[in-house]
Amino acid sequence: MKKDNLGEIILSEKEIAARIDELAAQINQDFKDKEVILVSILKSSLYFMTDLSRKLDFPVKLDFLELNHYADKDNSGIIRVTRDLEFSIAGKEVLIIENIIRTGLTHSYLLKNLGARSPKNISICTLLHINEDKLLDLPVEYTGFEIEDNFVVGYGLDYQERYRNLPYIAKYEENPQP
Amino acid sequence: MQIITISRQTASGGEEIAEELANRLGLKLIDRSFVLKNWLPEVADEHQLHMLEQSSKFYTKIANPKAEKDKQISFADYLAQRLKKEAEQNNLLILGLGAQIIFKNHPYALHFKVVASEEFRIKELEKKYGLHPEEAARELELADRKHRRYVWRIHNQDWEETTLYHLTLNRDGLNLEESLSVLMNLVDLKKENPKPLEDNNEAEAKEIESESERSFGHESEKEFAKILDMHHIKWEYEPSEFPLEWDPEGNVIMAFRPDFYLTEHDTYVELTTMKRKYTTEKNKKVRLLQELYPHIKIKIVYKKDFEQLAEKFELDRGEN
Repeated sequence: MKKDNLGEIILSEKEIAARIDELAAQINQDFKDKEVILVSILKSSLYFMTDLSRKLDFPVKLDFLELNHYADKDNSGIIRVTRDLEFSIAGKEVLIIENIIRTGLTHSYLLKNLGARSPKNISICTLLHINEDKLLDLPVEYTGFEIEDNFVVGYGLDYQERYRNLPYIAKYEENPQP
Repeated sequence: MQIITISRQTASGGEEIAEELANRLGLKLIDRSFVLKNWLPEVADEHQLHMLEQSSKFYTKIANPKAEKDKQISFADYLAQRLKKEAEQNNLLILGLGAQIIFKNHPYALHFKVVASEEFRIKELEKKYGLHPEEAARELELADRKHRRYVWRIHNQDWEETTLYHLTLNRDGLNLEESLSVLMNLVDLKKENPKPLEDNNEAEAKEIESESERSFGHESEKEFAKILDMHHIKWEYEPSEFPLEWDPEGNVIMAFRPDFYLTEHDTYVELTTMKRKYTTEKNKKVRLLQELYPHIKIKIVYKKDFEQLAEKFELDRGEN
């Protein structure tokens, strides 16, 4: 793979795995004996979902949700669910698995959309959380890493669909120094 | 000019609040008995007055059948006209009469509703009229239905709709003095910042209608509005101005009007398209605002943040 735009690795494979162990331990404690629907937000949280869910020891169902921003010519448009959940979440415990929360905009929409389906409870687990002052402050129960506001790729995150399958997370340099 | 409307559930103690508030604020109190005694006799005969006392349906009848067809009005229309005229000359406190709807979009009108639990109200009726609890409960049911029917019949609005009011007071937890204190404070606050209560649907319809030609101060604000729309986030453009500095006489010499208000998140947003180092003035205002109004949530979106947002939705159209 051509990796010329890749910058510094900010989280190695090992660091990610170790943190997922810690997160899983915490989640196992909080959700002990509960039945939970894990909702993975496609495509970026795919790897996080598979790695995290295999460390969970309470009964889980896996489900997937894909969102997309449709833009018109004048750049107005809306965010829409392009692949919906298979299961009903009414009356159920839901744990949303996100890879990154940047502005809180998508997050806000997700909570509104899923919240309208009357789940018993919705919690959010995100691997990455931009630690700068966000536009919308919404509750996030589980956070893997607080990172600075850089464009990052790998471990599910892409730049124009590339780099998702990197096992680590690295900065993406738009104009790399020669 | 000042208009306060109070709607109340029967036996919730709304009358005593209305009387005392009118008394303390020096407002002319207008209620149904006032209009039956002073206004309606101008257009109704004895029988009609009796009917108007008894039946909400009678208010839909024509008050001046002898007038030309296009000048005919119902008793309800007549009442609304009189109230509006009276409001031009006097500061009013109107109890009931559907006034919360007649003055719904009036910028100087404040609408309050007084409610209480059934137990509270039954006790009130027992105390006041010596009614047996069962009788009191029955009485309440009838009276509530009557209130509701009047507003529905005349104004086609659900009296219970909470957005018709700036504030609803629950008398179970607030005594007379506490209620008055809350109301007087709000009356005082709103004097600085009068704003009509609008029906949400109407407001939304207007928004949609005018969205394309809405005038934003800056292109970036228009783009930002699109990004919010994209995420189904409800917003208002420059809805409020916050005074920040006053001269010794109390005149406002500096104020700040944030660009957006995100209603569901109770957050104000100020966009700046200048480079961060040129934003000192704005930062100062935001800091002052946070000091003076610590309960207000405000975010600044800097040039870099905004460009990232705009770029994100053009380039890869998604966070995921």
